[in-house]
Amino acid sequence: MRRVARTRRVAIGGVVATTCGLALFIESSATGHTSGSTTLASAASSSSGSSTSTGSSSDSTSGYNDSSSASFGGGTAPTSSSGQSTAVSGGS
Amino acid sequence: MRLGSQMKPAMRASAIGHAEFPIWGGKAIVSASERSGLAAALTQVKRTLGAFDVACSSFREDSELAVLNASAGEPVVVSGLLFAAIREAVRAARLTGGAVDPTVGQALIAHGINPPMNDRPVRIESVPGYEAIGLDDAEHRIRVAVGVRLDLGATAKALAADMAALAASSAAGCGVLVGLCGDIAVAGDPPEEGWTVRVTDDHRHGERAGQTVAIRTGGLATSSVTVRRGAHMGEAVHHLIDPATGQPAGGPWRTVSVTAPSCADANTASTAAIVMGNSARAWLEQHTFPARLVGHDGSVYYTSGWPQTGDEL
Repeated sequence: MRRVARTRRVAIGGVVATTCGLALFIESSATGHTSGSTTLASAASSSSGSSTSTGSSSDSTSGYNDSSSASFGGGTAPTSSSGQSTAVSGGS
Repeated sequence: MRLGSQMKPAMRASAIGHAEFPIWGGKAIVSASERSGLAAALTQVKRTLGAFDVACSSFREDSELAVLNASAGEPVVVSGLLFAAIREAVRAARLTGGAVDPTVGQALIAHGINPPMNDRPVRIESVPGYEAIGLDDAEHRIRVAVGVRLDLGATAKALAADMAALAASSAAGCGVLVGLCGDIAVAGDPPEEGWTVRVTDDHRHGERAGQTVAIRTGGLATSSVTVRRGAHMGEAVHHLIDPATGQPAGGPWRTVSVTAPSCADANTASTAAIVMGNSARAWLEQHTFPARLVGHDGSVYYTSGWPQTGDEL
């Protein structure tokens, strides 16, 4: 595992959303002292650290919490409207 | 956080505050059901989009995602936001049987849709698939298999719209609509008539043939192959990659619009429908996604209660 720096996470938005069962945070970060793991928030601004692998992660997604999958689908249908549109939904 | 029941009654359309600004090669729209709430909503939306850009962009070399891609093969601890975005992308891949997959990064570069981050040549081939991503929820640690490049374009923009709408509605104390390059999320109490949204092929050209609908909750997303963003072998290509082939998706649909409880799910479903092709209608019905599907020949199909009136096609 690359050893670069420790990130000090500072909540700027706090808990801003709970979407699809996930508690989501918006964070900023500041570089702190060296520790045992890479943090990309700091590595993104300074990527000069050396690399070693601890093998602590695997390629599987067994740690992924997909409990929100049960709620996939079931949207409320829109209604037809003749009013002036507020927004446009189209390809990008 | 102020919740819907604490907000003032829905306002008429004339009281809506509205702002637009460019974002990610397209247009961002922020509307507040009360004009006085627009400034606070805008602040929250721009803060959210800034955070997403730093964390998830495939178009800047200093993003967290770019560094993660450059560290393929190593377990790396990432910010909570990037972790959530990648987890959402993996969720989308699982729920669509791999039709929407974040491991399309190399294919997007090969087709000239995303910029290369180094001089290494890339080949067009089927994408590795989401199982090449290891996620450690406890430590926010991610490991991407060697040779894999992630791109979150299929899901992160819609997730950003959801998060921005929620944050903006909370800050503004009224209903808010956020549109990011055609991905629409709403939060809080809507205007009396709902949020009216024009559905068409290109979010920058609402004057083109389409349909106007109204939504009150969740999200509305449209995926289309009519917008060309890349070039391969001298030919313009669209950006919706079929993970099974590594090529821009074919199939019968030029544009698919979907409503869902969140914009993230709406966009996952609309993108999957383009990739799935002929089986998309049955898949959308199976998951009870209201959808409007437009074929290359201009024929239009509807699923799960999407209104059929007022459509110009």
